Amino acid sequence: MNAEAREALRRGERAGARYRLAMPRDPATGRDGFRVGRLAGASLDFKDYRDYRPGDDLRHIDWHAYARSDRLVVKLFRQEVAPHADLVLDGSASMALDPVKAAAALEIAAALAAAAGNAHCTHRAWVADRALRPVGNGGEAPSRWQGIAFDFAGAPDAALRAGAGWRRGGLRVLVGDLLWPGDPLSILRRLSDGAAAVSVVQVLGAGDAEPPEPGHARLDDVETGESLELYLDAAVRARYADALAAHRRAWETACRQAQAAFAVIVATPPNTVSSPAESGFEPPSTVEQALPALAAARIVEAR
Amino acid sequence: MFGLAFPWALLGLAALPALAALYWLRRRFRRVPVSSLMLWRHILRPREGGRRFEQVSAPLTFFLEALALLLLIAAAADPRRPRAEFRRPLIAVLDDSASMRARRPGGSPRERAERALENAARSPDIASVRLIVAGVEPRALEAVAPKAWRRGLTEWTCRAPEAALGRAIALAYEIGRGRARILVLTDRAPETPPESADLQWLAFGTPLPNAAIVTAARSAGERRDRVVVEFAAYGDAPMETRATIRRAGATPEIHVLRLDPAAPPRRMTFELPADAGDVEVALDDDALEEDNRAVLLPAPRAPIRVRLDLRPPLRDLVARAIIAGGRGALVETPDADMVIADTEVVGRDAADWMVRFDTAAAAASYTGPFVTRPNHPLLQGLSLEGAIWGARPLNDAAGEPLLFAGDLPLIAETPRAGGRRELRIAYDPSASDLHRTPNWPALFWNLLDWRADERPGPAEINGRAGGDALVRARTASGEIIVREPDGDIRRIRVRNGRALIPTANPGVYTIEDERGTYRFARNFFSPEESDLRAAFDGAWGGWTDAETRRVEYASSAALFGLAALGALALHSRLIGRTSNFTRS
Repeated sequence: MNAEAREALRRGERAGARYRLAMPRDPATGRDGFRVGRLAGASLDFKDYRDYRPGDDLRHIDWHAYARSDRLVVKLFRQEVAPHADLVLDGSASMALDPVKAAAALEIAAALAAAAGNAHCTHRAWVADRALRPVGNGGEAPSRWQGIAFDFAGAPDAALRAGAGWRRGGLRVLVGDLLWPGDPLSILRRLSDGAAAVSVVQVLGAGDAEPPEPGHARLDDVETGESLELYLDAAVRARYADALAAHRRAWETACRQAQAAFAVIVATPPNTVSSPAESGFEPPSTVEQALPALAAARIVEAR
Repeated sequence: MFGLAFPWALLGLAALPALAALYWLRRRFRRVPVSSLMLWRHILRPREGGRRFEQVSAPLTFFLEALALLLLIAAAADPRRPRAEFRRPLIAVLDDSASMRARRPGGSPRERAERALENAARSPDIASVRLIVAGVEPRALEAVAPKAWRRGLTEWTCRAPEAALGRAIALAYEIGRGRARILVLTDRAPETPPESADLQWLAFGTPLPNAAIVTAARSAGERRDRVVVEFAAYGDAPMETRATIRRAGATPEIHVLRLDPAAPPRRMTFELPADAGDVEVALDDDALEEDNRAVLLPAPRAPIRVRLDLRPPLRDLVARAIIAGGRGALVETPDADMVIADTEVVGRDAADWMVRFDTAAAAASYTGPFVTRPNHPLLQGLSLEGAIWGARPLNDAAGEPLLFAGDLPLIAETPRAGGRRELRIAYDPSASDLHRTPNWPALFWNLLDWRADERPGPAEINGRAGGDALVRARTASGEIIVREPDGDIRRIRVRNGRALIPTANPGVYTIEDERGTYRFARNFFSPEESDLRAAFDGAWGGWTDAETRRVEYASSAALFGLAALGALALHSRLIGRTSNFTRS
């Protein structure tokens, strides 16, 4: 990882310090920790009674109830857990379409990791390219992550459908540009399988959100190397915007069906504002601008 | 031939590069990296139930615009095509001189001229093609259809020592009667640029250095022949060449010649044995082939055989005059070439020529004035002033008078059938002193020379090519067969015992008749043709002036304009279809 990527991770980590990851209503599972778990545990919060079964901790037998009813019952307490968040970063080459987009993706991933820490979650960062592979030091602070590279010449959908390694009962966040063909729902089902909550953050570059200037253009796919020559007039550019919006709606619909949160971030260079009229998206261009959008999508919460 | 009323409109062609530049600038593809072509391909996906999307075809629009531009420029130039009713005959005057065959890179002038003739013959405003071969004499060939323009080209050999272009052009005007287009194809510039709109002069010459044999002659002596050859150089600097002398039975002699163009022609003289055969003098190859070779045949030596049937003292006077001249030999045989008699001769028909002296006693002696028939071969060089001519004048039955003393005929001629002649001379030696003057041997030298000229065979053995060679036949009519230097056989009609043989080609001509063969040589001696420094490349005159074009040519501007509109309509339709698609 180069210095710019490292700096982007630091910026994201700093920005994420003011947020925590939003927890689902259904308790998550995880190691013992500070969150109330779905299961009975060792917290002080009383949850329920049940009959004693051999092996139960004798310290939890309610002797007063035994005296009254001559029945051995044990008191159950809510489990206090430390939920886990799996952060999955799209590792395809299109994420590095421009430096701003790559930096934004890293910043958002780092901010989400920091927000996970603020929510007393453990986390693990993943990169989805040819396969799903853990980021070096991905369980530690983002500034210590190693080995993230946007250099895969292809779409990560196959790796996402495979999805091995995610911790069950945890939160899963996908950060990517989602610009690949195929049914989003199949990927979201895999993400949701065994997860307490799923969030999807679409990071688009300025070149993704807005088509090139009018005129003759040779469009080079940075992942496949294929080219397409077109004459771009206003009509063609409008049709591109329509196609991009339709693609976003497909992911939105799929996220709703999978009960996943969804947000779109357009990474524009600092001090520039994209055109909402043309792109249809809000114009946050840095992670500071992106985090409110993530909060609006109930992916993070302000502390 | 098409013409343009406004050729300056062709400057509009400069718009084509500008159009191409605009398209090039517009069509330069910016390279734009994108995350995925997925969404772009979605745009280009064929519409269900509709026609397939056609990418905007900018090259096609470019070609349509360029075509429309070209057509508009053509319309502005007002191209005109000939009206069918105004098609004209083409008369091509072809320079047949040898310089048209000068060797030069890119083809000889003749080859280039032939291509120009082909272009002219294929012009749609030409109704027929007629060739006039301008050699020493212009020869008009048969008029043919434009497609058959090559038919007469075999006559265009380009071997003549000169080209009578002026007479050929006059002949072309006469034949054309003001309707024909005249095309002159040569290698020289016109003396004055043609002013007529009917004449176009095209020259395809190139100035080249050249060495040539400009003169060669062979004269017969008593025992040896004498040969004189002159060489000349034409160029900007002195040149060196070799002269090779060849004759049968002798080793070729090679002489290295250094010729200076600024100096007079260099002369070479040498003698040959009287029995030496043909002699060839040749120079090394250079720009012109024809003037590098001369062939000299031996001159005839046979004397005129004369039989005298005269009485003294006239017999002695005549015999001395004949022997002194060296052209005749006195014989007693009946087959003499000439009989000179003062009496009735037995078997006179055996001789072709009869000279009869009327030696009757003179009625008077005349001192003049003597009146002679001008340019008669018998009387050339005679100076009769002061001479005393005593004779009884001839009567009218003697024939056509050749010499008078006052109005009294003294010599008369009677032509006979078969080229025979009979002369009557009234002369009384006892009353005259003509035989004591130089006029007497001169008279008989003229007589024998005249007779020699009348012998069968060519009048000139070694001469200059071009023109007609006079050949005396053995018969008064009929045909003789001539084998030309290139091997062609020609039959020439004999009229009054003479035949004229065209000698356009240098070389040896052989004549055959019933009783034998004769030969004569014609050589290319033409300093004007050998001097290739005057050759020129250019074009003068044109066939179509503005007024002629207006009358005889129909404008095609409207056609081009309509075609341009068609191209623009197609262009508009194409653009409209593309816009409809992109809007949809």
